[in-house]
Amino acid sequence: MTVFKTFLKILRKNLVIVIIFSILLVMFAALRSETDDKTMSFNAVKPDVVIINNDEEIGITKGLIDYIKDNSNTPEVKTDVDSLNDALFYNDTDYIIYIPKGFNQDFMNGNIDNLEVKKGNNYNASFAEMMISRYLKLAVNYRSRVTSQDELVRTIKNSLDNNTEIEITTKLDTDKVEAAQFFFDFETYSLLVSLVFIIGLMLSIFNDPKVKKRTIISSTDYRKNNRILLLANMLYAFTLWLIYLILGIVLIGDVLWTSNGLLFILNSFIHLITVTSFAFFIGNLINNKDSMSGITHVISIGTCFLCGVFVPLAYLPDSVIALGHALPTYYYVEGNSFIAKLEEINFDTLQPVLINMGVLLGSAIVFIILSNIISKKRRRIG
Amino acid sequence: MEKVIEVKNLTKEYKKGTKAVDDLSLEVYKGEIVGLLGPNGSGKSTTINCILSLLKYSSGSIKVFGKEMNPDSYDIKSKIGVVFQDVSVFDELTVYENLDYFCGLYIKDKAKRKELVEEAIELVGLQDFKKYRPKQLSGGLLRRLNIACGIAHKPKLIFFDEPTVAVDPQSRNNILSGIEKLREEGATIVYTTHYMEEAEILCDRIIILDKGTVLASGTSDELKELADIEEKVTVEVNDLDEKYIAKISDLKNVDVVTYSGNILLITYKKGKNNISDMVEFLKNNRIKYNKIFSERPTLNDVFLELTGKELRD
Repeated sequence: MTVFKTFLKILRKNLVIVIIFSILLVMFAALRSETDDKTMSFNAVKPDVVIINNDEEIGITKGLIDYIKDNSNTPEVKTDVDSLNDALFYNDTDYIIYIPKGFNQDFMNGNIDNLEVKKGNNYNASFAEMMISRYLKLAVNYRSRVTSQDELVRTIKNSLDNNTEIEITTKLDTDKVEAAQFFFDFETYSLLVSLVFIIGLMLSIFNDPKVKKRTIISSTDYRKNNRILLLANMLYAFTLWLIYLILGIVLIGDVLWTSNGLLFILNSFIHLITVTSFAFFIGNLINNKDSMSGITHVISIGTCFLCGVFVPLAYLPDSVIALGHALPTYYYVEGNSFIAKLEEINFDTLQPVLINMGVLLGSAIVFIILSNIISKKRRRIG
Repeated sequence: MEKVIEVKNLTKEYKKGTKAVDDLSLEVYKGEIVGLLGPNGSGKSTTINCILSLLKYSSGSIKVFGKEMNPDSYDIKSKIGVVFQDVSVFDELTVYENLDYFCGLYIKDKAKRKELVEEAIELVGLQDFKKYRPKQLSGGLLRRLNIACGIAHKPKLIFFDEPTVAVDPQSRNNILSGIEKLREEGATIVYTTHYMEEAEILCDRIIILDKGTVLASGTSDELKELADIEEKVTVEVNDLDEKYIAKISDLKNVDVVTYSGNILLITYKKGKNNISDMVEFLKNNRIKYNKIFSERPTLNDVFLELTGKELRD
């Protein structure tokens, strides 16, 4: 108990850094949740479309105008050519559609090529074009199957409404899973700093040759002391992970109880084993408490950058990703992205996740073996 | 007398063939302070590390409290305290917490431990520094903490490995009087040093080591007998003619005469009335001098006699 109590005393005196990085995790996760809420109000971001209608507002012309109005903003702009060009240039509108006289009749006769458009060079303009094109494609498809213009407009509307409903449901789940993925990815940084620093510090303090000599000559079994120290470190790592998990539950919510969520938790636990064994390796290797803080930050920031924690893997250059492959955390982050995309859980879909978990466990074994080799060499006094 | 330590034919040889300790035998008896005296690299610390099972030795046997000593001899270890040469404490803990930790490696009972820690703090005079961290202490106070950590559990056998290196005079006196007090309380003490004055003041018996072997052992007076010199007479005299130096060399019992600066140093072999003979000689030759005094041979002279080199070489 003497070793365990002293471990706790030293931990208490160095807890500030753990608290800082835990707060950082909470802040980023909360910030990310807030960003997700804005993404949820996706409908509010509509393209600005100016409709110049020279036709009678009946039939397919009316259906198209109503559809555009429902799915976009229609800003008030003067309809002369210069004003419309200015509106596009200054982004007052994203898209201008000219509906020529007789469009409704021409469409029913099989001609839709007389629609004219002008568009800006942005995402909203593309979205507006995609939206209108979608409406017209449906109109062409249904035209021969219905008996009246009213029925055609109604059928198109039903079809579009159905599609929209399905899209919204998918979006909701994806956002939550992505939030969980972000949390578990970013947890790596806090976990790396908190574990490498504290475990490294503890090992270098207790394994200081001078202090170790005193411990070896005492009447307490040195191996037993070492086991207690090992257990104290593991208990600390597990407690920290558990606290982070509880924070995750509070911040992300019930998605963690889905199959994807439970896989995130399992992946995170396996990663904890790897990071803990890595921290033991660093602690045994460095054995200098004064440099532990600097080394911890270099390792944590470097690992997180190379492994896609700070910047998603998709945006990282190939050279960086190639370096990241050498680090276990890469397989954890990649595993998280596999889990986030899982829609169906079976052996085939789980295979890439399981392979990455295997790499993590394999790395942990390597770190444990290396730690033991170093520790045995250092145990000799002369 | 009860033997506390019995080392027989101890040899510690490193892989490259260097022998740090070579066929060394020694005995330490209950209640005595034994000094291990020798220059750096003479094998003092290696011998202690072997006795404590911190080092594997190549051959020989070590018994402590009548039992074979090995790394798992926890019953023997519980009676031993060690004050290492380097300060061996946790920088992160306070003076009290350090003592509580190291005492806790021997004493599990909390109340008893508290009592012992307080006693140790009082013994080394750190009452006003209990809540200080080691980095806030001066070198001397740090040494005192180091000692307190080694003796807090009231061991029956204590090893002091050069505890006064780089210590201010006040702390040095404090440490030496503390060691005397521990002996009065019944502890057996093994004290390694290369300060011969400390060994002379403190130790009942001195073992002189060099190159891992015992050169001589005995009380301070017994060892000085080995020096084969009776005394050294120093005369402070200005501009002494060479012819007088030659004459002095021919005087009775004179072994070596040196004159450097204004100091004339005459080493005498056995004999009596050497200083009065010298005073007579100076008077007869009308040599004016400022001071004249005689010194008994030191342990350094013994070491010089035995090895041909100074203790602090």
